[in-house]
Amino acid sequence: MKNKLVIGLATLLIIALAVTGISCSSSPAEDTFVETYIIGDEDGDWGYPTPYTSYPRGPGYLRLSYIFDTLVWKDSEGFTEALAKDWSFAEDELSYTFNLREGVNWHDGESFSAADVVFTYEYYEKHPSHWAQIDKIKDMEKLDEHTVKIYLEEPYAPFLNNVAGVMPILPRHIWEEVDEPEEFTTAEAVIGTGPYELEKYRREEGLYRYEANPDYYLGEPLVEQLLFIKVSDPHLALQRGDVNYAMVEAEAKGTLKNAGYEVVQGEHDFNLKLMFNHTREPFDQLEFRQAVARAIDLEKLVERALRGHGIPGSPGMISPDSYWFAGEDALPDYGQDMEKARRMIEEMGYSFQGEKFKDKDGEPLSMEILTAADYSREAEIVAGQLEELGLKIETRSAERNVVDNRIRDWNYDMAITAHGGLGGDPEIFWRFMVGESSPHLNARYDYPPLKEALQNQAREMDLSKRKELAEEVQRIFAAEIPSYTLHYPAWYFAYDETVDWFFTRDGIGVGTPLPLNKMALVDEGEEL
Amino acid sequence: MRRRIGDYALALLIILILNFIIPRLMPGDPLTAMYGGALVEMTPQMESYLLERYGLDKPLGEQFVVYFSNLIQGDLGYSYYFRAPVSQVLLGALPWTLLLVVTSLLVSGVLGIIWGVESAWRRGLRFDRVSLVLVMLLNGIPGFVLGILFLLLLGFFLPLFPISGGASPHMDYTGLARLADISRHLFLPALTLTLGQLPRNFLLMRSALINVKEKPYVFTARSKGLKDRLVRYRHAARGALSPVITRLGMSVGLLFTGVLFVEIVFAYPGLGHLFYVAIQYHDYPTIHGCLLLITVCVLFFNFLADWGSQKIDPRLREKDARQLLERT
Repeated sequence: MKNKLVIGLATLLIIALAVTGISCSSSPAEDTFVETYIIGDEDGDWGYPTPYTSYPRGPGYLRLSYIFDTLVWKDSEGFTEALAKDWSFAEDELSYTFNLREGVNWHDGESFSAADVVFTYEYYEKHPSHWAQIDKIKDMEKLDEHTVKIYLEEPYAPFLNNVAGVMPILPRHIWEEVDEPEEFTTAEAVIGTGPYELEKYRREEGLYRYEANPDYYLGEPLVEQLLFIKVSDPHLALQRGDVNYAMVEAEAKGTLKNAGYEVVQGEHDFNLKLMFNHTREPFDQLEFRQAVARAIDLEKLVERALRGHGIPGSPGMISPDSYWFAGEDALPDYGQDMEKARRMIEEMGYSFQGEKFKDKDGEPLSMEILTAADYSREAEIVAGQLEELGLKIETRSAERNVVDNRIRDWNYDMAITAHGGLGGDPEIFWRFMVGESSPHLNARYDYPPLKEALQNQAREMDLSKRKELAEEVQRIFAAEIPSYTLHYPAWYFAYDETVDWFFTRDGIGVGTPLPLNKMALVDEGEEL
Repeated sequence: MRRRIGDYALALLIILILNFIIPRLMPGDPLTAMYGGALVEMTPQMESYLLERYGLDKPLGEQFVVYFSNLIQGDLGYSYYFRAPVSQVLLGALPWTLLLVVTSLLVSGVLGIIWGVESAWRRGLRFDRVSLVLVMLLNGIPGFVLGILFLLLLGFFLPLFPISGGASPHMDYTGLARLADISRHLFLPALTLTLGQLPRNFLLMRSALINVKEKPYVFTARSKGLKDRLVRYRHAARGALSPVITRLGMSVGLLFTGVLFVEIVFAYPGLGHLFYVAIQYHDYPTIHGCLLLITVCVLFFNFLADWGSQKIDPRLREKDARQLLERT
């Protein structure tokens, strides 16, 4: 009994000592070399960082990008070298030739060569990974130890952005033995050529701990020990000095700036949009969709629903801060104009009596706005404005999956939904404008001129010509308006002065809109 | 006792079947939920690969047979979302949740019982009245509000304790230092959860003791000239304890739900977060695994409570325990 008491008291004493003694804040060094850098994240876990076990979201890719390299990479301006030191495209035979860097070693000391690249392609062909979109590759061949040639099935403009700049290159000497890549989670599975080596991953704690790879071919990384951790409250974690970087709420901007943090606003990758069921009356008529758009005051929506932290939508879907944006003058302006909107509906044969529209049978023109609970504030505001227009609106808020399913099955009138991915290559248009992929987010407006314009831009290998063709897509989409982007919310990221993060053109990898580009941690950084 | 075990086995079987069916009644499907984000496109090739890999292309009945026969062999399946064997995912989180739940259960149990006894003994006096007000106040504050309050007060304004995680991320402590590190991280979440449980235990113990306070055996003990403290705890409290213990065992189920909020507020590792993510992404194998584990834990603690209350109350050891209890 007495022993137990002693042990109990000792434990208490230890706890008390620990409470007062150990402080877990990290002190950023004044020198350019930093011992520990901690990135805070509210979600924490994004999977074991291999191409097969990381989760299919941007942060999942980000965590593996520190370990695995790609043929090319991107910085704030565009493509930069990575495992390939240069590359060229041969129009006549639809092929890319990549000259690989010599003297690159895998983390285990084996040397990297063209054989690894060809092996990687063949491996992804056998074992699909969501980070390797290889269906546009017809063939790949090794010309010599440090040259590979990739033949495309057809002209495919997004190749560098979506394939060569995303596909993690695997070490052949390790993966050739692996038959079940989804179950391969040993220390060997995270051997790459990248600036960092994974030292520890603890799923339940959302912890990733990396050690710098001192032999990295682009220079020794600036930070010795890099961590991703799960935090309860990013704002408090920054203020306590628990982390050096975190994504924060708009409201925390002021206090963090005062505390000496750099607070940057993210690019507008994410949009909230009003989808019209254009297979159903009256939304099958262009004039009606346009009239509805004319009744909505987007500025007011940003002010009221986002408390000003965002920008009004563009009818071309792409946000004004994207490289691919068509420009305001090129797109139709659906600025609020109730009178014009009413006239348009009246011209369609609906009568306007007693502040409300009536259909041919004299019944009020009524419809439903379907939305997930997260966007019910926007739905209420839009509903209010459409009521003012003269429509009878009912808003229905449902669970996210219910909304997704009803949109997929065309079982709705109007729906408010949201998605990101707008910051990447314009190929993403396909997913949100035509066809059947991601039906819950996709307008699925198979209008031949739109499809043609989409095809044209995807096949144009010249960047500036392609930009014009991408603008054409936005013009057609904005004029036809099968879905209407309402706003782009602003995201904020705060960090101390240790690392100079930057935003990547068209996002990191396939389009992750975060500032955490690994090149910011490499000595040469952006000077590449 | 043997019949009891039979009851538990039957309960487990029914729960297994329900656990299998209910998650599949949720609207939506795992592949859309997982690949519904905008960044990665689910190619038809990828879709058929995953459907086959996860066995989702088979009819529901067949899926259950596969699930059940694997389960009997101790295989909980492969998590769609976490991309790892479910058993591995669960085992990583279980120690954290158990640490939190068991600590809170014990602390809130012991404190609740002592406080309840003292309060009941002084029924109607100032100590009792103040205690009741305090408890009512505590009972009225939702757990997560309490958590956020502690986070701000003891984690930020007076930064005594860490506010996130179960251990320091950039250090690998060993031995006593690790114990201290884990205790420091455990303090706020455990305090929040304990205070959430305390009122119920207090009220239960208080009313149970008030019931037995006037019982003849207490009177006998007192007239034997025993010390007041001895009468209070060894005689009165012991007789009143059995419903409290049963209740404690039953509250484990509630604790597992309460723990979810606490884990979210303090970014504490554990099953709550896993379960939350698994539901969000329709990760059936992980949902099954979590539910199974929680079920087993709850049944185990109920069993422990059943057994414990019999041990503690001498009257329940008798053959016609229940009848006897009614007569007294």
